[in-house]
Amino acid sequence: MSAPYHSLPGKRLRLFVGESEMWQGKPLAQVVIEQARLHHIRGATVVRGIEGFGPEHHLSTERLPDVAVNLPLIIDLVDTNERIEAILPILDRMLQRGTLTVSPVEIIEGTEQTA
Amino acid sequence: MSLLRQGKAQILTLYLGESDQWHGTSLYVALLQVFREAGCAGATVTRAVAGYGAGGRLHEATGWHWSSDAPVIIQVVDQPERLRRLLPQVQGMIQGGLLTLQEVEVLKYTHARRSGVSSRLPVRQIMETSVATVTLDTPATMVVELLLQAPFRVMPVVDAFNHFCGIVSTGDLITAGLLPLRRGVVRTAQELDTSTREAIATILPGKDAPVRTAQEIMNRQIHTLRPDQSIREAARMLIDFQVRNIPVVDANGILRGLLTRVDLLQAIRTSPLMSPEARSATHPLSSTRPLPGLAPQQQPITIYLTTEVAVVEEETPFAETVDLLLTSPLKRVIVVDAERHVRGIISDVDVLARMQEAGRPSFLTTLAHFTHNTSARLPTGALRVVHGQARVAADVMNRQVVTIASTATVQEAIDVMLTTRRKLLPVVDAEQCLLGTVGRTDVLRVLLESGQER
Repeated sequence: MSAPYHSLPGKRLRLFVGESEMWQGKPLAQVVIEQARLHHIRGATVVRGIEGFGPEHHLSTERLPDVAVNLPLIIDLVDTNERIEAILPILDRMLQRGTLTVSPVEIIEGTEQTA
Repeated sequence: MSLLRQGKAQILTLYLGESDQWHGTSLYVALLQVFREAGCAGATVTRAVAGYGAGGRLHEATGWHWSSDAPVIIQVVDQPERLRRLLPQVQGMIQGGLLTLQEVEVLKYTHARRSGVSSRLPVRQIMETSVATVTLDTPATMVVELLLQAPFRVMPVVDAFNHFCGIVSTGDLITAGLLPLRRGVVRTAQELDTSTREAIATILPGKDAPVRTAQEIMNRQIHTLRPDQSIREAARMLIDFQVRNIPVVDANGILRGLLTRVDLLQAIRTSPLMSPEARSATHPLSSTRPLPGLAPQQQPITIYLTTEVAVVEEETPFAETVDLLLTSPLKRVIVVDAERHVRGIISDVDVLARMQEAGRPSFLTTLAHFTHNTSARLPTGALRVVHGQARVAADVMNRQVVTIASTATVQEAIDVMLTTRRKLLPVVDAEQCLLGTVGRTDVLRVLLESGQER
């Protein structure tokens, strides 16, 4: 039997950036996570890619040490529409090179205890 | 444009094994190469720690990645059409691996550096790749029909092997006597009242016109771009040749796409989400020289101001207004009051749509004669004076005129042009008085300047 669940409409922001992107002297990913915490964003996750290319088409890969200096990072932030919209202008200013996408998600708040 | 516009896009996600092979190299490396060569906006490969996929065998990272068979995930963000086009090739390569497509909204896609626009971006990355073409033997009347509906003003002509042969533009059709007037006017006329529709139909080529083909009417003397040329070189060509688009042709003569003015403007416009604080960092200057230390797109728009503008007052007689409209290089007349406050703007389409019905057929004839240079004198003589509403400039002007403040930046002007779809913006000072205009080609100069910095 499937338990009924509470859910909220939300959004997942996904940033595709290079590891060497900086914002005011700090790694961009670190600043994004800090800002997400400050704004009480429900979830933030950074994943490092092993290879990729982005807007400027410079390939980076861990296979060759020479071009492994700027591996891709994917940063996911998930929260309600309002919270995501609140943090967008800040992310927008910090993102100088990369892609920022958003897709709708349902945030599961927990299942109901059924007897 | 090949790279992402803000708005709807898709994420293609591929699940495969890290040790999967394709013709002697890693499959994921080969796939990434495919996406890169196709000019995709971006792709990222991540390695998972365990999993299983369509292949049915368990993938597990061994902790020593040179021999790892962990699952890898490739995410490609791009416009839906391009991804769809690549799917058959990709499916052939991953041999049954798992593929998903998901809609996403792209909020930002930027290749800009802090210093300005990356003017070295290759044309391949921003050109339009889904371009309607005709072949050499397409009947000219069909070219006219297609061109009236097409998203661009030009129709590339290709042979059976997609080799680029030439271009048919609306200008070529007018020269060949196949189109009486520019496209916008014909389109507007077709949507107006019956007599106007009939009037335009009588000057459009009928079915009994001699059969000609695209080959006979096309222009072969066309400047083309190679996919690897920079957007800076593209801007130079658009400005020098005063054209709105350039075909992109590879070394083998194959047509690869079309680069339009809008593609370049989109590339300059790096962010639709500029925060209010960032937006307010404009400079209240009416300086006409670039400001040192500012990125080109942050310069005030006044550096590209054109001051030679055809101006009339609201009470200027209709015939005089039309004369000025037809002879003005911008094909626009701006209507101002005694203090030079902008009241409206007039194009040939505005006149046609706003004048009284009875006068429309003769206005079309006048325009056609003027376009074909068959009228030795100014057109007003041919305009019958009909008692009705259109008596003065104010009667035919478009009051929904979008102006831009002289303190605005180049970037803001581009934003306004793209969001309001205006090609020409009157520039006004703090008192809303007209200073001049900026057009789409004017702002492309920003790409030339960003190149000088490096």
